[in-house]
Amino acid sequence: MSTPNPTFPPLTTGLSWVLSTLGVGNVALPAGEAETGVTLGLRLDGDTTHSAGNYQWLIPLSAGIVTESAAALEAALAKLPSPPAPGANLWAAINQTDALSGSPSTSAWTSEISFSLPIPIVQPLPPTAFGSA
Amino acid sequence: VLDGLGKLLVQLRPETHLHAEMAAIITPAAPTGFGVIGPGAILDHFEEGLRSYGANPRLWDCYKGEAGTSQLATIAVDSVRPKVGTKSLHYTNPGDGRSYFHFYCNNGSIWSFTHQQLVQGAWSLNAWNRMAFWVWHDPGMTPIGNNGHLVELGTYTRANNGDATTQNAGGTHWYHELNPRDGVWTKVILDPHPQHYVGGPTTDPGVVGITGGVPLAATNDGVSNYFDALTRWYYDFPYVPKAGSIFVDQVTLYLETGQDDIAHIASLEASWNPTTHLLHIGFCRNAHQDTTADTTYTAVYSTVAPINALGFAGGTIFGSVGPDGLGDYCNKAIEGVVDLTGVQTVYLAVQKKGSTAFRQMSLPINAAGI
Repeated sequence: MSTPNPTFPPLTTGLSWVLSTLGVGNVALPAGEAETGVTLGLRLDGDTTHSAGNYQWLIPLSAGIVTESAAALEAALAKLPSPPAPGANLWAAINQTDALSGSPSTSAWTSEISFSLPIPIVQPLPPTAFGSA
Repeated sequence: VLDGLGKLLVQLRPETHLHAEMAAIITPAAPTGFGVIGPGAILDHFEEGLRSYGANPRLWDCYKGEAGTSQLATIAVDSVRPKVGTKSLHYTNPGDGRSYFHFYCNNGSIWSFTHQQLVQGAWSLNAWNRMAFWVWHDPGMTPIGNNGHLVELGTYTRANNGDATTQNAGGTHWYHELNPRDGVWTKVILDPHPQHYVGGPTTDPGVVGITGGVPLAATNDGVSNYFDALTRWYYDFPYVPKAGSIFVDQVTLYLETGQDDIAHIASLEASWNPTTHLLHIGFCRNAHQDTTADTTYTAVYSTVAPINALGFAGGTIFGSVGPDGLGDYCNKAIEGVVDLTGVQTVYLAVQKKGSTAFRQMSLPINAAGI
């Protein structure tokens, strides 16, 4: 179980999280307040124009979603301007938006985690000059 | 106009209605457990010694709180018998009672989840579906015959918002039954198919899921899987006291992505004895479906590739076990003499007769790790 790059492990499967069911300070939410979605924020490692809480890429996800597969994340990023390249080292956080009677409220960002985007493997050509001697 | 406005205000009452419409939204707390779904993590490799947790000096400890348990047992991390690296957990029972030690994740006031005590790696929700570790029972700590089990591995699951002063608020207390051989390192793979739960009937509770409430699910929170919700767990010889030492090494949590028939073949363990060349694989069969007379389980091995890659027919049969005719909670063992000298890793699988699915595992012989 070696970890070639412990700071930016490759995102082989995806991301997951637990939706909050409490308010800031661990107070109970009023009846009717419900989660309406989360937003993934991502920035490149070494990008001095962005920082924790200030992300280059924002990916909104629908209510109830608690995982984002690596493939889905790559597909979502590909639709955004100047997407990160395969193998890029990223920092990410997530926040949650609730709504009550049409009024939204968004949580703070989580602590950031880091990972690298996978590099697509290319199928090799068959060996050549195969024969008996 | 003012009179009309006054009438309108009166119509807006009663106040209860007004409150219901204007309850203020509260800013939610940020989500928790945000992380990369990884290949696995190490709960403990014991290379850092016996770790503490808050006011608790021993994250792994003897349990002496029940009648019949050894009161003279000791526990340490030392270099007497490591399997991976240079150290392992070393529990010794001098024989004054039954062996019983536990993963004691209590800091003096609260119980942590198991995943909060990782020595390497990071947890994320629903990332793992197995827990594996090496265990050694000293010679003489023999398994129980007649389809019995020497070991009960007890676990507690707690809901993610459950009372942390308890081990299992919103969850329950489960039992896994194991019957490893003595005098050899055994690899144990715990899956989310316990053999019993407290308060439940004397039948197989089945594979524990995420939703549906206990006993169908690990907890009542609807989001935690069995290993997300795991808090304290213990290793107990409840029926037959056995003097001697038990060693544990390389406790890992990981995601099994291959097909794995845990519904019929649960609580898997395997060993290979380098002296006798006995290849052993043990498991607990499904109580509901495997008591019929035509039930037979067959085991195969390969030194080339995982059975998942080869298919069950691609392995070499080393034994089978027929029906036992007994009721619930039956442990089975399949054994054969196979010379694996020099082999790095042997791949094993068990299949129930008439099934296309099977249960598979790797067993490092000379390779490091688990």
